[in-house]
Amino acid sequence: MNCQWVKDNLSAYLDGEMSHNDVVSLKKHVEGCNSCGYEYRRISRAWEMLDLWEDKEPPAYMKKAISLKIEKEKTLYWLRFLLPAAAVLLLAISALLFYTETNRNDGKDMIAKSEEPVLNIKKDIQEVNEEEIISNLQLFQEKEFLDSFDTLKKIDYLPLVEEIRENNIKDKRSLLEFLAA
Amino acid sequence: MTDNDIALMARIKKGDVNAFELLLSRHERSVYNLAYRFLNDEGEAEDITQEVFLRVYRASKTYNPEAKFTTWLYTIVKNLCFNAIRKKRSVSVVSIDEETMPEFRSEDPDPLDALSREELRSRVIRAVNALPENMRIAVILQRFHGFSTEEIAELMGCSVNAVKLRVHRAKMILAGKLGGLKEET
Repeated sequence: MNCQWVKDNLSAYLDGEMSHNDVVSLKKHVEGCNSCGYEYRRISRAWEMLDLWEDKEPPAYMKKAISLKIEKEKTLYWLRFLLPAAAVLLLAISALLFYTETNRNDGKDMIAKSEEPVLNIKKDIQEVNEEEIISNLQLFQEKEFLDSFDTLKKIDYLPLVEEIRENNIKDKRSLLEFLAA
Repeated sequence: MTDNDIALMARIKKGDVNAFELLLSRHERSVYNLAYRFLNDEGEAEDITQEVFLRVYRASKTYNPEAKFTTWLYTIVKNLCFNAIRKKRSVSVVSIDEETMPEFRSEDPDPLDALSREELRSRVIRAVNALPENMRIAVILQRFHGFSTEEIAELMGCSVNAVKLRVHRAKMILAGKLGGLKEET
């Protein structure tokens, strides 16, 4: 055991990390060696002096501050789930409102569109001249109809069905002659 | 303690507010002091403590007790502290050399002079804060929080020997700064 070995192991000795045999040898050397003894006292003195640096009491408000942070953390934890859910719900409601509003407008448009032709028809009807329609009818332009019409205008009496049968009237001409008579 | 912590985490997962408050009461002081000693800034230590427990609460939903609870908890603290240091460094003009090569400053009193307890305390804080970050966190965890070398290695993601070496070097540096000081009688 030499001085260098002792100096290298003083730290382990002070920490109680040496075997029993090494401790005994080191102690014996330190007691008999001024240089190593001085080094031992210097190191152990410095190590002991660290006791002067006592623990400091944490501020009284720190526990409360930590608890508040934890509470905030918990709130944020739930908000992390609630916010997206609320956003989705809001979007769904917005979409539903938009869809409902669009359908309502479409209905109004359809009603408006269905009412427009009716108004046009009425407008058309109002604009039609009855005399013009009659004059355009082909029936009134046929000579036979006009002749028959003249004949009918002269008739004062309409025969019963039985009379027509009894007089053996089978065509229009016979009928007209019968009536004229 | 560890089993209790894991049981508390299981209760927190189920929404037990009392379990969280119990866990907070159990570790608040220790978490705060680790951040405070490492950063030497009360305000930052408060912010980090709050952030740590917020992360613990968030992680309770998926927490899987693979490691010791305190190792897991202090890994969060350590990571947040290192992030804070990085942020500070990005806006600071302090050179790395100044941090990694701690020496007594000229205005410090003679080491052999007897100092008041308050002055000694101040020197201790300055000496620890002047340690490189990896040494500083190892020293704080071992000296003030009672972590074993193995636990520190797991927490820092390095080998046990690397932790031993860091602590040993830190002790040498601290011995150089504090070993010759004595308190006035």
